[in-house]
Amino acid sequence: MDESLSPKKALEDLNLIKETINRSTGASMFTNFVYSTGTILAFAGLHVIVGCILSYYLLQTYGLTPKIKIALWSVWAALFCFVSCITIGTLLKQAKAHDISLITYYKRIAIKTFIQIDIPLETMCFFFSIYFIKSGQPFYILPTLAMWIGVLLTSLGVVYLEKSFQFAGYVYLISGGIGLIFLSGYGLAYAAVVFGIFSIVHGLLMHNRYKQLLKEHSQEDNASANDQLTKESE
Amino acid sequence: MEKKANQSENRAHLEKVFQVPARLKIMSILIVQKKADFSELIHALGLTRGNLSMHMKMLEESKYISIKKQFVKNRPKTTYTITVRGKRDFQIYIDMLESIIATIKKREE
Repeated sequence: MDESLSPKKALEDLNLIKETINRSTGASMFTNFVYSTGTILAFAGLHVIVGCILSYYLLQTYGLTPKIKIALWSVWAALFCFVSCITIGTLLKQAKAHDISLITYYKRIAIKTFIQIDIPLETMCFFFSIYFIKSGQPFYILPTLAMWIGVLLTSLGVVYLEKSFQFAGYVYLISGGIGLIFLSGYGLAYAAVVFGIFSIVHGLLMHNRYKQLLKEHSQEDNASANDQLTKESE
Repeated sequence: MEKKANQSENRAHLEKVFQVPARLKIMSILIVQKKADFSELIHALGLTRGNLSMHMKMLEESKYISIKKQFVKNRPKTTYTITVRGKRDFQIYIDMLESIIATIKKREE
């Protein structure tokens, strides 16, 4: 009987099963992570706005002196560290919920296709940023960053079959494009709108969707458990 | 003798069901997610509605999946869940594929 299935077909089928299972595991974990971290995105957006307001206040009150430059870097570094710590904390919590280590959790979420998309994008973004700093146009780093997030989100949308990512990706892509064409010297306002307000809106939408999905799933599970109980009692 | 004939019949059935890559993909998704709705599967597999329905019908006839139809916010929603038999037979099929590969590797050695 085994002979009727050719080794080539057997290998093809096994690869197909493995690929689909990997993709599904990564996708369900990733979607779960993203939905549950919707609040973090909103939280990060709020901190970007706080950072922008603080930076604006420092620049308006004291001007761009060497000391203020250090203060500005410190403000942004502190905000970045704070948001990063909370993100890592959430990742740890999620990994614990799945009963796996943080590294295994990362490996499952960041499936090969995602890494293949992300690394070239990060490299491009890095070199563009250096180019903008060297050519005395650092404000163009922000729209480039927005475009990187945009391409990353649209690609993630395709990889993980998540339409809302594709939509959010296009919002960042377009705002990045607009920033590149029209932005010159309004970096703080741009950051507050694109990385602040957009992130808050996107994060809250994600969070609400997750809540709704959880609710639907728990209702379905309760209904099927009730069905089973009724059948058993009959 | 009868047992052997039954086994051979079962395997023939497995091959018939899983000879189509789309059905293998559906079962792989359901093994991981336990359940999935119609639109989720259409999105994941890139199949047409008719094509997916046909594959789901075949899997249901083999008792590999159970179908639950309901209305959510006045819209019909079909959810597919993998059955115990589905899990068992899919595992048997995977074991079958692995044994073929293992045999070939042994022969090569």
